[in-house]
Amino acid sequence: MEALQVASAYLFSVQGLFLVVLGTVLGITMGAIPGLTGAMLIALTLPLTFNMVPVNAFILLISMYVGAISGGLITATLLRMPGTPASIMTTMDGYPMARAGKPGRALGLGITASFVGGCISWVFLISLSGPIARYSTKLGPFDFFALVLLAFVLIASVGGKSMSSAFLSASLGVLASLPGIDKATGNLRLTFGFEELNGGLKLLPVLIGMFAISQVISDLSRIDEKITIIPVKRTRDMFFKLKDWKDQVINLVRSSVIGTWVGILPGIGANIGSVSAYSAAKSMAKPEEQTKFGKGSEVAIVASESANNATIGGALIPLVSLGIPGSVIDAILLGGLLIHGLQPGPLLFQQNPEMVYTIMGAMFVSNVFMFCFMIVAVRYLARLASIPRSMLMPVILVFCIIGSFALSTRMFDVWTMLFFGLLGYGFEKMKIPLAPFVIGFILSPIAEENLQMGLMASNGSFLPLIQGPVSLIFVLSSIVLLSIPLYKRYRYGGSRN
Amino acid sequence: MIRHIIIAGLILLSVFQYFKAGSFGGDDYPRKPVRVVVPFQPGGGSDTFARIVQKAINDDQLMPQPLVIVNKPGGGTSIGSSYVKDARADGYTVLCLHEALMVAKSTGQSPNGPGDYEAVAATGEFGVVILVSEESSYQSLGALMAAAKEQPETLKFGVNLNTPSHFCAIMLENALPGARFRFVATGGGAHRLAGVMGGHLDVIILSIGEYVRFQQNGLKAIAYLGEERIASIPDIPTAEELGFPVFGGNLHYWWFPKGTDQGIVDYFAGVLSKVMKTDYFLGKTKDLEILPRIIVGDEMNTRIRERTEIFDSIKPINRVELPDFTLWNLVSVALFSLVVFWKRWLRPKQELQKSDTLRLRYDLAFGTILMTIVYVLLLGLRIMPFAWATIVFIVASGLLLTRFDKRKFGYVLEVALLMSFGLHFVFTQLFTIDLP
Repeated sequence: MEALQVASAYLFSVQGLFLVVLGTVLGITMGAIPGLTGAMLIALTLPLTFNMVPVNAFILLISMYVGAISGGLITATLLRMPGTPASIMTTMDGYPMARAGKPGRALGLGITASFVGGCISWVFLISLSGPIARYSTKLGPFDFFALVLLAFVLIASVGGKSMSSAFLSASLGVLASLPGIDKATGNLRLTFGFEELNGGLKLLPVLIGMFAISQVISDLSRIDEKITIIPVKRTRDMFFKLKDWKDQVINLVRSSVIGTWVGILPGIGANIGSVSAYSAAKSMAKPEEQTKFGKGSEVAIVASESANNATIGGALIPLVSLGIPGSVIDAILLGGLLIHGLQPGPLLFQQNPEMVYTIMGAMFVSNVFMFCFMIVAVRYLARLASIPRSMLMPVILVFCIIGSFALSTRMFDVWTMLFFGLLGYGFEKMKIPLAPFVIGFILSPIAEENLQMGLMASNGSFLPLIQGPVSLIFVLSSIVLLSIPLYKRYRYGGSRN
Repeated sequence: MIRHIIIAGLILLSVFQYFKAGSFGGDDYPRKPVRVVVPFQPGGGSDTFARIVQKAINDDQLMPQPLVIVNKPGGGTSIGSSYVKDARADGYTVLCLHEALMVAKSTGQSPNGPGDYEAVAATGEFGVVILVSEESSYQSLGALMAAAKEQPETLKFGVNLNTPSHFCAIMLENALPGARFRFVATGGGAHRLAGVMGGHLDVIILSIGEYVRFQQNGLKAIAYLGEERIASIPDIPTAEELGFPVFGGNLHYWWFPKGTDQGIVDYFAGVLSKVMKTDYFLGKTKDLEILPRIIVGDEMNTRIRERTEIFDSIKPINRVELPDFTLWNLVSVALFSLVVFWKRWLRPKQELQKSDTLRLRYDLAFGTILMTIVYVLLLGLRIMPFAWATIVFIVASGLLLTRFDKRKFGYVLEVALLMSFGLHFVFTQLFTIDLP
């Protein structure tokens, strides 16, 4: 309980609240500008937090996370461009509704749904993480290895359109994580004689390159894109009325729960959560409502927006209780915990409970602030999309360079970042998804360490992998998830979709 | 209008700050802040220790200039140690690293050994303890070692391979001929702790500070690898008392680059010995169970030589054949590349959807990236300092992206000045982050 007091003392101090406000506003801003994503913002902010108290750093980062997922709905609704990938489904109905003369209503629905989704998943976060963390101290190395295996399969089979390119991306991510010191033998591998590679490729330069630089290149090539924003007037219909609550309550709860569970699954995040809730809402809607999907359905906006915010709480559950990231942003946060000298994993609850409570508290406070701020400021936020890219992009490039330099103060990391930026852009052009790469890069050391630990303990035998109940369940679910799409393809001949 | 005044003010302020900064006076050492390189991530044991010393020096003004901590983690400490080895031997760069320097050299993980530096002092001794679970059937070091001899390579010993913890465990084996553990690579202290709590490991080794923090987790310390018992936990016997003369006591050494003036080395050693007596240092290290000890001169050199000999005599071997992950990974990369290649290019193509009528400006995108590369070169080769290189970069790329529109030149210049001098101010004065 002492830790809870410490955490709330930090959070509710002037500085803590200032960081919540700063983080949420920056997050919403970045979320609202198409082409700038939450992952990019958080990767760029992380180096700036090196000299902050870890707790304060995480108040800021978590607020940014909440803000960035929420801000995307503004541009999705008013510009038909999702500000972040999480809001893709909102575009389908938000924009038609705004075009039909109800932009305020569309935004209001999205904002309230985001808030409710965040709150519901927060309840899951505070009630589930503790028990999972307590239970997971009993999990052995093989269980963790099997869990990571499941994460790989999940991101490939659920994450994107093509399983093979997702697996290719993940394998390349694993490859990028290999150079450096082999933890089990202590020998160097794949360094090709470069002493700079002895420490391996660092997380931040790779992430900044993959997410920020590649995005900057693609934004710059689209510099002539015309942007037309639907103007919003202040209207009363932004707020939920009693009737709205009655109509949407089931949808809200269902979508939030779906979002939370998708969030918990390791590796996949907000966009998948939003898509799943959207399709669930569509299949469960009344026939006359179903016809409205894609043409400005209120149910659809609520489903998409509550689910994408609900993935935040969901994805934080494995992060704080197991040290396994639930989404790409959580992977960056995981790196952030390490950088601040905290050991993510089952023991985080015991060693740094104040950090766990801070993460939980910051998510809630930021969610409340996000709601208030968005309701008041949404009309002005839309204009952010018209900031000229010719000004924005050089500034972002400078920040990328500082960000990757700051970690170890060496130019090598900056070159690494530029290299991965070009690689990331190449991936996008070849339609190879980026997320599996990052998940592979981050999870493979966890997988390798645990497998080596397990094998050293079992004297080289793989049998414990299918002997323990927990690892067996994970292995079996991986096999099932992997074989369903393959079976479907075989069954319905080569014709995909 | 107000906006322009504010921006102009900000620019003036930061330009002023920029030119005010670079002036140092006097010619006695130290004339500027001394950079302490910690080859670990912030927050770890070494980093915490270095920061305690830093605060003690800065608060009590034991030196006219402050210490600045620079973390250079990775590479089994070789990134940080190489950086200091190659730094100018002017006394403004110092490495703070414990016995891992000797261990990394003798295992071949790092090319740098004690001979590459001028050792200043060894400070702050921290011991290690051998721990088992409270429910373990080996409740004493004697019982544990007897079991390790009776059934060699069955007791699972969690260590961080090729680090001091691993070497301590091997020294323990050597103390009873025939005793052999099964070493399990577990990484940091928290992982080891989780392993022994979950019953996946039989015995682990932790620093005394870690043990004190984790005490309530059902752990039992069966031996302390030091010369005498610790005052605050007097009931833990030393390994020597139990008949196993193994010493795992480790100290934080301070190393200047080879060729640093002896006067500077002595001066810094003097400052460190003053640190050991400050109230702040004593209070902080008491909590962390670090002994405020300092060894200098011949005694230190003898200690370095003796420990290096011990480490060199130990050759850790990997006892379990592990699969080759690099090979696995390369196979999977090759396999999936083939599948993707086959699907994309060798199959009849589905018709391409061309809904996007936007003309993509690759020339601008890659022109900007090219400029970024030039910018990084300017910084990396130290041709220009950060602020000037940034002005050049932002003006050049801004002009390119606005397609040399004269009306927008004012904005470009404004952004360039804010980003260069402004960021220089923010990062050197507000956050202390190193700029390229």
